[in-house]
Amino acid sequence: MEKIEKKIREIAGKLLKDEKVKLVIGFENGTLPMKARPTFIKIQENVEKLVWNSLCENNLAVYIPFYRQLMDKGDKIGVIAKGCDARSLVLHFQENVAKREQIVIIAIPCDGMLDRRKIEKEVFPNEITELSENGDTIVIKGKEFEKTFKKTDFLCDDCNTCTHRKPVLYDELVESSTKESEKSGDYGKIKEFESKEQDKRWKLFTDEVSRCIRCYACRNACPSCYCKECFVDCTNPQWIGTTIDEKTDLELFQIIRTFHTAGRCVNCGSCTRACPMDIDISLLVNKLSIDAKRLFDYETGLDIEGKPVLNKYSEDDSNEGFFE
Amino acid sequence: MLKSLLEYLGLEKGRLQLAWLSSAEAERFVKIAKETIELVRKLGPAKKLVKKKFATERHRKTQKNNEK
Repeated sequence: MEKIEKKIREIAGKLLKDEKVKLVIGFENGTLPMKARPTFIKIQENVEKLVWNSLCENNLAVYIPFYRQLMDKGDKIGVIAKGCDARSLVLHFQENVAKREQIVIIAIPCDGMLDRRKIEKEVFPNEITELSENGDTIVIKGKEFEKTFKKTDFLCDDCNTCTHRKPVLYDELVESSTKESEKSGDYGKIKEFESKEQDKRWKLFTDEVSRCIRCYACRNACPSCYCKECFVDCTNPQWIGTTIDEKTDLELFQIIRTFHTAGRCVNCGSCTRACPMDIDISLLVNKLSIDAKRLFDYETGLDIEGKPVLNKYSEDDSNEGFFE
Repeated sequence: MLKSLLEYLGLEKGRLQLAWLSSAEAERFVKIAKETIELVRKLGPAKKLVKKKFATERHRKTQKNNEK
């Protein structure tokens, strides 16, 4: 980890020094334990702030649409990208959010990120004050206790099923000994849900989203959700109610938001991690990815020349679900 | 994909229906409209994804009956 961190700082420092980029987006230590937060480095002296560990969970591609003005002036942006970030960036190139030459991708093959909630649950009710990692093990310290865990037991669900840990596209690659996930593409959770009775599925889904408080953290954390005006914010016409007392609005919001990412979602799991109410949004978005693969043999963000799957038409496309 | 997602989440099979139609295909339109009506009759009034505010009197009655 330290080796990777050193390399990142070196690369970022060099890019800023040579004025190849105006800004590097990466991670720094957060103020709370077990939290790394996104940071925006503009001067070379600040690269020492950059860190790399198993808590760098945000998808940094989400910030690219905010810097359109900067990029239009001809400046470039450096992004520290995991496998999922790189795929989101490819999606952004496909959708003309940014041009390929405007972004410098500093790629890091990723071992999967830790799920804070799983760890917190494990040591409950103790409060965690420090987390350190050493290869495959993590050490958690708190008041009067210290525990050692295996890292692979506490990875995010979406990191376990990750299909592309190695970034698909990069300018600078930081070498590491990452292996692809053993459970790569194994959506057992979805299959289990699918095998249940129809009414039971509906009940589970409505129970899950009934906790939604409409904070839109999932939308803001999602790299594919970058519309200037989201359908939920639109007031003329108002597509959907904005309160939580009408449960149908909650259901509709989750269905419509996830469907807007159909064929565009890279399964980074940012939405699920961002949710303060612990709603399992990946239950919905993973299904869309499975369908994109099943119906169109398509995976998001692999081919920079390609188009998102629902943007193209071919005569041989599947007609599943349509009247004969 | 939308149909597949909704049915996966537990919406009744056949509640959402899609068809490719051209304005020149009158016969096909009639056929599909008839089939749709038949399917919807079988399913009965929608209970899922219906706002309380807009629910009709009949819908409320059926819901009450169901609760009993």
